[in-house]
Amino acid sequence: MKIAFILGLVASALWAEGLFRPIAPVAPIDAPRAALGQKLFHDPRLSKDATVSCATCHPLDAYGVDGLSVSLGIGGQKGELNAPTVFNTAFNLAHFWDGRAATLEEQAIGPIENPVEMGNRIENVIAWLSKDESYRPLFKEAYGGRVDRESITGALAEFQKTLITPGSRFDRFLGGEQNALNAAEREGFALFKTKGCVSCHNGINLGGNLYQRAGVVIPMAFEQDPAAWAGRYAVTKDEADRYYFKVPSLRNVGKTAPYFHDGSVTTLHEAVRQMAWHQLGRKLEEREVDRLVAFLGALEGRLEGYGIRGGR
Amino acid sequence: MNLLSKRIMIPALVALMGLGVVAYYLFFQGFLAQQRFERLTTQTLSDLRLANLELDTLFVGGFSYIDYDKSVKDLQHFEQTLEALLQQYNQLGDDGDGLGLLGEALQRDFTAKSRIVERYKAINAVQNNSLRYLHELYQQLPLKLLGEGAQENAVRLEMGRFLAGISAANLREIGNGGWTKDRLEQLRLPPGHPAEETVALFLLHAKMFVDGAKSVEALGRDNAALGLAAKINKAAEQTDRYFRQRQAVWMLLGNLAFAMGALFFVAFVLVFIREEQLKKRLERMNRELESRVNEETAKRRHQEQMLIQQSKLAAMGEMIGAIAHQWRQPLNTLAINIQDLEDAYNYGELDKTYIQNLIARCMGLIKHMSQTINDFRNFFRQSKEKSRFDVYAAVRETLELVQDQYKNHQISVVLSCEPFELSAYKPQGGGIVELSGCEPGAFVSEGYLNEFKQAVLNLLSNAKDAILERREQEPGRTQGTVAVIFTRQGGSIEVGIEDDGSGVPPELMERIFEPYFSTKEEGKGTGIGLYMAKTILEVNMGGALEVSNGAQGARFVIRLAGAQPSDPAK
Repeated sequence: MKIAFILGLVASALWAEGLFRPIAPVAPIDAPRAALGQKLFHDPRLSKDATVSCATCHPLDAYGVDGLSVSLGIGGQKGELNAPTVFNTAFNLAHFWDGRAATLEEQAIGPIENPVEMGNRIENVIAWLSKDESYRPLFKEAYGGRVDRESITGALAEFQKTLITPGSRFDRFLGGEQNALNAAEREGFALFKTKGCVSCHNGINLGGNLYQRAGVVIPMAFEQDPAAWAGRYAVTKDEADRYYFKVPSLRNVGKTAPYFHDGSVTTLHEAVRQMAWHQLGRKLEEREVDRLVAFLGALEGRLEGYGIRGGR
Repeated sequence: MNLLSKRIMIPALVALMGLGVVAYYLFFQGFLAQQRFERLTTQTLSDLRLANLELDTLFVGGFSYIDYDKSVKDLQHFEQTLEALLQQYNQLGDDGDGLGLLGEALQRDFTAKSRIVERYKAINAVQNNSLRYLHELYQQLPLKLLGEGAQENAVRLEMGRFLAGISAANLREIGNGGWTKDRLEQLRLPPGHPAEETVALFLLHAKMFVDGAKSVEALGRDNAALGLAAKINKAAEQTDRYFRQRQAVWMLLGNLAFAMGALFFVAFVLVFIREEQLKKRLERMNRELESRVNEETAKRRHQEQMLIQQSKLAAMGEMIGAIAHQWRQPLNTLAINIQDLEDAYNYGELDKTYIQNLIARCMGLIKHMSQTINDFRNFFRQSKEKSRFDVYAAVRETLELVQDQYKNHQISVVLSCEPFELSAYKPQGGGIVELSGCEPGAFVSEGYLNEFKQAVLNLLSNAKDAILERREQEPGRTQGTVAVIFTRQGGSIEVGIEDDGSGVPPELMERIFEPYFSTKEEGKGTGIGLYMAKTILEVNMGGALEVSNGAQGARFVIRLAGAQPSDPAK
């Protein structure tokens, strides 16, 4: 009876393949709005001193991250948390590490008005945008000429929806292509499930669909710092939510170092090791870590989006 | 302006009916819109109920992988449906205020639920992992502890018991299943023991698992306590009630509009019927009235005829006096002539000449007396048909009948065809005076000759009586004058009979033409005379008779339509 139960668990763990889905484009997309969003995304004039654009911290040709543990805002100010990728964000349940933005539109206003990021006010942006001739036809076609908070964030959000990375080896494997993954990657995939990584990193984004406590089994180092970010607690004001963060997506994780909300871990091997210990309470063998890292590498997809290679 | 006249009523009622129809149409549109909106809201609430059920299934499943992507979609779906519902509630305006607040409460509850769901997911993930690891760790043990000491076996037994105690059925009770902190602490091996780390990990995860189980149970309770399903049902009930009420109002309005329209229609029909009824009644009454009037008129005429006869008889009575008067003198003269015969014989004057003269004188007198009879007889014969007659001549002939009386009473009658001032005239002892200016045949009219003469006679008789009455009041007066003035006014003839008698008191002016009205003493007058004269002149001859007071006495004016003279009638 016990054995059956255990076997059932293992089987369900393996069968959890059903919890993974390949990346598919978000539809429908409003092309004029996405075009406007693309131009805004790359425009440093969104920031107060016109030095920082969205692309500064989320360069699209670098998988949407700048490779810094925390990004630099206007005037070289250090940011608060590690900048997550802008790719595949349409599949996340919320945005920001603490999930305070329920939609991409709500998220877009954040960096613009964050003092250590772009340090601006939306009114200023509206002011100069309204006078800018190069934007007028774009705004006309996308929003009938309306330049306001709604249209600006809406355009940015629409653009972000187009940013996806389909075609990874893992997605092809999910599609039935058995040879898409090599032996090491396949072994890594099995470990990914049996070790329990899949419990949180599942779904179309292999993550991004729930909140979890960082250091749920064994507390993490950052808790030592009294000024450490409290995560979800900032939104719900519930002690039980302290140090709960949105589980990040593992897609393209090989390319989006450094890791964790504070960007404290620079290598994927170390990240895997720490995750296993702090989140699963397991000590992994090196061989197992290698396999897992190999598997995570198979999650790299093609960079796609409006106006960039491969996009519409 | 008669408001009930057809010309106003029909358009007004048609307009009102039209309004009723328009109102009903508008109501119907509004009612349909309301129904559509109601259906939409009911659908939204149903969707919300289903979305909530989906979320609740998370808490039911004991222990399996939860599709987190689906849970995210479910939460988003719920949120969007709730958003839509709130928008619909907002469209209800002030009326749905209670519902608006209900919707906001649902939003707050949803936020709480989504937090519960997220935490549940997090704990669920850890539970899954811990359970798997616990089994793994337990599997690892026998390899290391076979054949070892009692403590190891005891620990291994406890671990087994712990795992056995976990099943889908009592997952929620694992926290209360006797695995207290102290009992759990038994799961330890001394430091340095080869299996120490394994067991330590087991203990760690076992503790986590127990805490997690407690949390999961608490979260399930919290979700149940939220009672979102019941609240959604309540919202559905309240919404339904709201719409029922509105619908009742709509139905009422619609029925009112329709009733108004129907009422107006019925009122219109009733009024129309009533009007027809009234019209018929009116016609009937008119006909009745007409026949009554005809009846009465015939009676009246008959009475008039009788009155005419009576007045004739009365006049006749008066005429007897006149005849007697006219005959007295000739009879006296005849008597004297015959008595003189004997004296003539005694004096030897009885010769042929004397006898011839006597015969001539007497025959003349007799002829005169006979003429008097003829005159009076003619006078009282009824004129059967209208004829043309000379008004002047008729008056003249009438005068001859009464001239002796007038002479006796010292009353002069002046006939004039030019304006005549009665007060300036000096009477000369009675008799008829014809002034110049009257052309023969100048005053010709058409009518009943004898009746006309009777009217004139009556007026002359009244004039005489008035003069005599004045003489009684003013003893110094010995003379009296009656002026008969003939004039032409356009196509009509006017005969004015003016006297210098006592006149007509102004307050009686209107009444003197009434039948049986007399100013004379009892027995001295019938009161019919003037009434008859007026009737004859106005009714029979289509003329007019007016009275006024002249400078001296009364003034009667006869007006007749003139006719072309053909042969002067007699």
